[in-house]
Amino acid sequence: MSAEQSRAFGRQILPVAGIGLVGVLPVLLGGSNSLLNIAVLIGIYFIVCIGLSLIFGIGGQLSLAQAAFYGIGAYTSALFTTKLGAPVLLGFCAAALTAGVIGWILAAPILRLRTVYLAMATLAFGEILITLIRENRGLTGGSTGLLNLPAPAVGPFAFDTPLSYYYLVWTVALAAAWVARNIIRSRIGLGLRALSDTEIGAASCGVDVARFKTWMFTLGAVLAGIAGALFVHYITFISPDSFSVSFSILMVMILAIGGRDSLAGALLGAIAVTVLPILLASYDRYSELIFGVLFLAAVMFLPNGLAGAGSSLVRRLTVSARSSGERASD
Amino acid sequence: MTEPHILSVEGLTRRYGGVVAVDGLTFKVRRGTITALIGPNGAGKTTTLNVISGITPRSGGRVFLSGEDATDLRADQICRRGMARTFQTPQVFRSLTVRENLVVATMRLGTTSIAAAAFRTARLRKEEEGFRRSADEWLDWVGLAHCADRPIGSLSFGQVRMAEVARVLASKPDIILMDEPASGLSRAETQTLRSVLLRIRDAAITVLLVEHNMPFVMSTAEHVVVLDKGRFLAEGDPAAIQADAAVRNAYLGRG
Ligand SMILES: Nc1ncnc2c1ncn2[C@@H]1O[C@H](COP(=O)(O)OP(=O)(O)O)[C@@H](O)[C@H]1O
Ligand SMILES: [Mg+2]
Repeated sequence: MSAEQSRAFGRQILPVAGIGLVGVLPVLLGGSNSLLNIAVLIGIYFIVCIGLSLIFGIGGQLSLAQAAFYGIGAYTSALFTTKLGAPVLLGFCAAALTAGVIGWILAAPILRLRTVYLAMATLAFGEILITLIRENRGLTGGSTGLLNLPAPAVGPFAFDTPLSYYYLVWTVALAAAWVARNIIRSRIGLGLRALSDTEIGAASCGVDVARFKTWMFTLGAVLAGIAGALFVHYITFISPDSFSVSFSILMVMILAIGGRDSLAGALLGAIAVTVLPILLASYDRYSELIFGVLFLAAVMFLPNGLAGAGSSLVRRLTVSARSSGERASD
Repeated sequence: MTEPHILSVEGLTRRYGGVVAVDGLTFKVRRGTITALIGPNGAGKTTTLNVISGITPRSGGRVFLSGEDATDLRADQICRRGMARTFQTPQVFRSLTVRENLVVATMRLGTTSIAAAAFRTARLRKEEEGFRRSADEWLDWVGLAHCADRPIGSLSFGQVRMAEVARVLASKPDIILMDEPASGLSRAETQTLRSVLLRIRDAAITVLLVEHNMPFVMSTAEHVVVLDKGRFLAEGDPAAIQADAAVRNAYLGRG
């Protein structure tokens, strides 16, 4: 099998394996609710990070607005369903739409900024939003938030157990990953990588830099908005604490640990930041310290994250397997 | 095609604070020629290319492409009008392979619909396959076919320059601007570049060449425009320019 063929084979087998694993994972977890809770959270982080890997990982624009769009989606759906009594699935659509429209409006002025200035501006946007939410007590419940959010339902079937919610979240996550993967592989994906290398070079090659950035920022906002809505209807309450700047930083950490330029990186990072603190919980006071040290080590020694380390390991293994195979056939 | 001049620059001016980098420059480029823009270091050649190609805003003057006003267009809009360029310091995409660098340059051709990309439609797949094939043809044209799958950062400097030339061709331009394409090349690479330039011209693509290497300019270009301190100094065929006293002064006066 040539390298080209094996890559094509990998492209076909990986999605099938991924869908299969998502399908049978609850069985492997023995139906444990606490493990399913973790899997739901990983799925929600993954959805947010798929968007971030398009705008930041591929496009090179460091946005710290993911928490804000996550919050916009969450509050939109919460208000739609509690104040207007809309069905939750409609609330999800409204969440995606509202986050997307705000993202699209914000994109033009904010994406003219670059590097640390962009990071600061997107951070400020998040701070303004949190303040608005806290101060509009009548609508949002202020710091206390809103309680008793309903579960999504299709006809008589409600997604009100960890197992059913797991399948809902991961269906959305896989759909988002499929779309993102298509974009990354397309000419638009190449254009995004190009503009992150040199905007002048990309523009001279016909890449409409502002338009490409706007698309990715908007798509990232939509995904974060859906993820936020999925999150609050799972835990059934909403308060501003979940949407602080630290959430945006956590999302960037996920890409730093997992690898910023592939979807596998977003997934591995989401697993790492969710599972590690639980594994480290027994160290009590030192757990955060150990997490911090591990994070530092990952960033320092794995420049392309866990995904990069994994793929270079696979490459080394196949090369050595091939050369030993050649030796054997000599 | 009634307009014999594919590019026409009128009174182009660009100031940087107190420095007038380009000062009321007027010149024309005839369709199908290799025209050189020369001048001493700091004469304003790169700035002229930057303003024409939409990278730097002008302070004054106008730019016409095939008789149509193309002043103040963005770089990607200029590219869509059929003008492509190379850079004094190559602006290649280090995170991409050589072939992918060329595919980016096809952006003005075909569709760039985000919806088609998101759902990877059959039509899009077919189109992108065609762009990859045409990228390979251009790489073959400049002798880089064997490098198609390599990261562009792994190429030698001369190969990177040539890859940038191939990338420009991949956008199927009517006119190419080149900023010192021979600088940093070996003698053999410069020969290859000359033959590629002549083949580009034979393919009915106009070239505006900014170049330092005088023997190279004189043996490649058929028309030469001379710039000094941002101003038009002289123009003519290579022999006339070499004989021109004012041009000699401009060069010798500054070493
Ligand atoms: N970005 C810039 N900011 C300030 N001055 C500039 C800038 N770019 C060019 N200049 C000045 O404009 C003049 C022309 O520069 P340039 O166009 O690079 O000349 P050339 O390409 O002919 O060597 C020089 O004096 C240079 O210092
Ligand atoms: Mg120059």
